[in-house]
Amino acid sequence: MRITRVGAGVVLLCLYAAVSDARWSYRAVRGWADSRHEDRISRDGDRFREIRRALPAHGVVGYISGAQPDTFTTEDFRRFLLAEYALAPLILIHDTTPDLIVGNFPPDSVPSALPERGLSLVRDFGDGVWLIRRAQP
Amino acid sequence: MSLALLGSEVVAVAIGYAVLCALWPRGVPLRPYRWLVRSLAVGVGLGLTAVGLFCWLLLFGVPGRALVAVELVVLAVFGGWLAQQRGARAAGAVTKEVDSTPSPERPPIVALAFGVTLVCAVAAFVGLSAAAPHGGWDAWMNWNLRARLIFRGGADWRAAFSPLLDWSHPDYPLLLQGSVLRTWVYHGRETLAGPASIAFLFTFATFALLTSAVAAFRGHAQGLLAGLVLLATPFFIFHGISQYGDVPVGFFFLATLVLAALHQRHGEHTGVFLVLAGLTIGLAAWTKNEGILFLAAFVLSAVVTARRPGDARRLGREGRAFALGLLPMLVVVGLFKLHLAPPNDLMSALGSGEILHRVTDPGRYALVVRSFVTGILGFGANGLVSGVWLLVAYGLCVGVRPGQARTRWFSLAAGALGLMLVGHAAVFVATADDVARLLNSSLERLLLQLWPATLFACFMVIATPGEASNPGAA
Repeated sequence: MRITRVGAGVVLLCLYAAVSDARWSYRAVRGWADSRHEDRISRDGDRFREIRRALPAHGVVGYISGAQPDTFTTEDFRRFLLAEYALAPLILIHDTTPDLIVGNFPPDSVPSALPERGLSLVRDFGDGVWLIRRAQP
Repeated sequence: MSLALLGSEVVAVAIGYAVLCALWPRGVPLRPYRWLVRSLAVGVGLGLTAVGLFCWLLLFGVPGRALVAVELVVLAVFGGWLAQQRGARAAGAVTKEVDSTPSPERPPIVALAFGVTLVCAVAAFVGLSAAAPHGGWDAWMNWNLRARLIFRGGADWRAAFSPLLDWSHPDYPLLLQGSVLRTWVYHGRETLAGPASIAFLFTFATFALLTSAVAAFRGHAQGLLAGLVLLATPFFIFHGISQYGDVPVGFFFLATLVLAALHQRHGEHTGVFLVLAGLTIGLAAWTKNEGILFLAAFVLSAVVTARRPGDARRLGREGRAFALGLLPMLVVVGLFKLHLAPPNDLMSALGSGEILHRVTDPGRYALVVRSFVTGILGFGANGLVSGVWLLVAYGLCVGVRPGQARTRWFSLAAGALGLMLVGHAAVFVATADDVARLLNSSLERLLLQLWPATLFACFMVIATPGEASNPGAA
């Protein structure tokens, strides 16, 4: 059988597609398998379900996670973003000056005491989620 | 997926289809372009309904079911009028056949590969969306977060654009967020199926528009091959699943070049395709800030490629038609930018001294050029070969259709896409604080925005398998 240059070109495109097809098929099966478990973002959102009821409907609240601004890692930032995503339409600022502050600590390294002076714990919602109030002077 | 959610998308696409049919020129038969128009209707409908939602927000605040009622009334009135017009046209109009009927060739191996790839891509899209229903990082920290802030904000919805949220790009235009919000308004509450279904629509409408447009201009086989390459580009599907704005803005870049190609074919009799091209460029600017860069690149390329005697007058005529579609969208984008959006994070932190310091640093140019060359040549890699090298190899196998690369349309398309690359490079050099990090996080996405339009331009000029096998017949 003689393969023409045009035929070779078409076969090349089909081969490229076949490699992607294999990848799509694998990812489709894997995706369906993974979808039986709750995804990380939904799971993280569930951590904030209770505290949402204790917070005002709108406005700005503070945020504290134990990480200092100069050591804020990508993972710390991701945790901050996920908290904002869960608590919207409240606006979180990475600061402890507002009256109400959301504490969001990694569940495996929850501090034993408040990391700053002048703050008081209102309620520990578990899983590293705290509602904190700035103490009145 | 609920019926209400499905309804929100059916209504949007129907509105888009009605607008396209209403504007479609009388002398141009719709039949050869029916799939092209249906694909185009998806983006145009989602875009226009997002504009309607934005106007509603400004006038009445966060919409409820009243928006659904108004959209249904608009669709019923518009659809009725359209049916009446169509009846009148059918009774009296003489339609002009398309001058060059595309060849009906459809090699079985190509059709089979196309069908298999489509099934696998849809399965991967649905499976991966089910596993990660919130989409990628930017989807939940930006696009879907903004929709959530507005939807949950009620009377306080303007807080969604607070400068306190500057890390979430509150200056990004609202097409995508508006479309997501609209699905929730129809559904009555938030659902993760909303943003996922919008992502699905834009991803597969881009594929359908590319396939149908190339098929309409260059024949079925060529259309299937173009669609096959796009669907098999791994980053196109993975990024579509991530629910970012890059695939939607890429849809509008492609749509603009498709409409410009229609203008090249039928422009002697009508300026409507340029009106629609103005609209789709406006919708690109309503999707992402890169749309404004594409507008500048497209206009500059159109001016530069108008080089024959008499072109100045024609350019003026074309410019007026283009502006007619573009201006309403620019008013909407301007209203958003001036009224709601805080300054862009890349631009606002810059002073003229800082820009001067950056643009005179040769190291930044070297880094940007190196990254662009590596990024372009490696784009679309799937483990076998990159998409760009694949196109080069295929082009060498089949060759270029004689004369096609010298058309004004191709010069316009190639010029606009080339200027986009230059524009992106300039933004990286002049504005990025950490240029290496920004290149790493965004270059591939920027190239993806241009990929469907690039494939369209390529498959318009390279020979079809039939032409390449029988060069004398071409």
